Amino acid sequence: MSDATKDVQRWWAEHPMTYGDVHGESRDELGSPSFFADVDSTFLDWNRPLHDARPFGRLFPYDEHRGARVLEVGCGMGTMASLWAREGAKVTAVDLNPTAVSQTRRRFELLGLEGDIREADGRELPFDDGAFDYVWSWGVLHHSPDLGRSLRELLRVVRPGGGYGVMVYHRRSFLHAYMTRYVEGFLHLEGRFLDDLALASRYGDAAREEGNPHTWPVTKRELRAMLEAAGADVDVRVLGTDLDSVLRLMLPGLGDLLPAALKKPWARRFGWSLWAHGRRR
Amino acid sequence: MVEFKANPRDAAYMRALFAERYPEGTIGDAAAAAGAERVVLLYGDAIGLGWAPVERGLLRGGAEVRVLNGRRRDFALDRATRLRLRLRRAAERSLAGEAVFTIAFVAATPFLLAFDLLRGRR
Repeated sequence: MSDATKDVQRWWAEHPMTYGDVHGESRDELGSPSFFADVDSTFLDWNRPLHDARPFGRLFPYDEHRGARVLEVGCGMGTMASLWAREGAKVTAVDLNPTAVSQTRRRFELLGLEGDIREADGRELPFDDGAFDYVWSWGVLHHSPDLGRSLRELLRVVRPGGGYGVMVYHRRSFLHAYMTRYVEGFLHLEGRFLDDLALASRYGDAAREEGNPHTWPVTKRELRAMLEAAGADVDVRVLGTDLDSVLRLMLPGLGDLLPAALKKPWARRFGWSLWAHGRRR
Repeated sequence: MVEFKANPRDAAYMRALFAERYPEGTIGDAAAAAGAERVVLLYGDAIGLGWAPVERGLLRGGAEVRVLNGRRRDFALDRATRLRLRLRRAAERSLAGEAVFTIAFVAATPFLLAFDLLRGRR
């Protein structure tokens, strides 16, 4: 494992995604039922527009994968992995962060779900070629020091014709343009001290703290090119579920005053998340 | 809102940072800095909102002034930097950038809506 990867692993082990005000903090004890309930409530609420009758039902093809082998790369606290397990998929989940692995195992144990939860680097997955029918990763791979390699590895373990879904941060987003480039880069002079990657890593995630070792949001074009080069059919769309919170940060009341219909054309272009999905050729 | 974005570090954080960067230095208030040859200002935030009167007093006294801020940056407070800070403090407090953005947002929205409707996207 490279030093850069060890830095990422160490940072996330010390600051796991607890969905509190600050990474690593939580109102409840890690591993307790109330902790997982709080994590799920926050995470699902952030992503409400992506749900139908089931959480993330507008993105995930649960029905066609009942009984199928599915893999999550970067499972965090295990919310999504448990959703898939409840829908009847045979879930395997990996994370570079040992805290995430132990928490996801604990969650599965509490819920009485079956799953294979392991510590692994997304760039060197310990699975055979084509081992899974569907593989997804949510909000993780932009922290990989080599996104292209991580995407190639993710697609390697999807069977030919199998599906995948990847969410990564979007560089041409309001959040990046406003909070990272304008507020911190320009207003707070950070652009004079940090290059683009360092600025994104410092303020793209854990901005209230000291940033994290690596965060690099990508454009639609970059993501599409990487996935096509790795042998996938690709559809990329922007998810703008964060737009209200960005507008709220800009001017108090702005997000609430504007009707949803006026925000939609911006959200679908400049949201903070890119969702790439399709099938391995 | 301004305070949230400024995200200032507390006094204990700044004292520890100063001790790390300037182990030979001593910490005091603005009055203690009067007459000192070399002064390091500890901005809890990035750009020293509210620090302008202190800066003016110190620079009039001819001290060499540096800044160590809550983003862990260390820089000299020269004429060009003071100008940059003045501009940014004014923009941060007045929300001027946000006002410009809001006007652009409102002006462009009908065109984006029309474009999306023409392409069949609702």
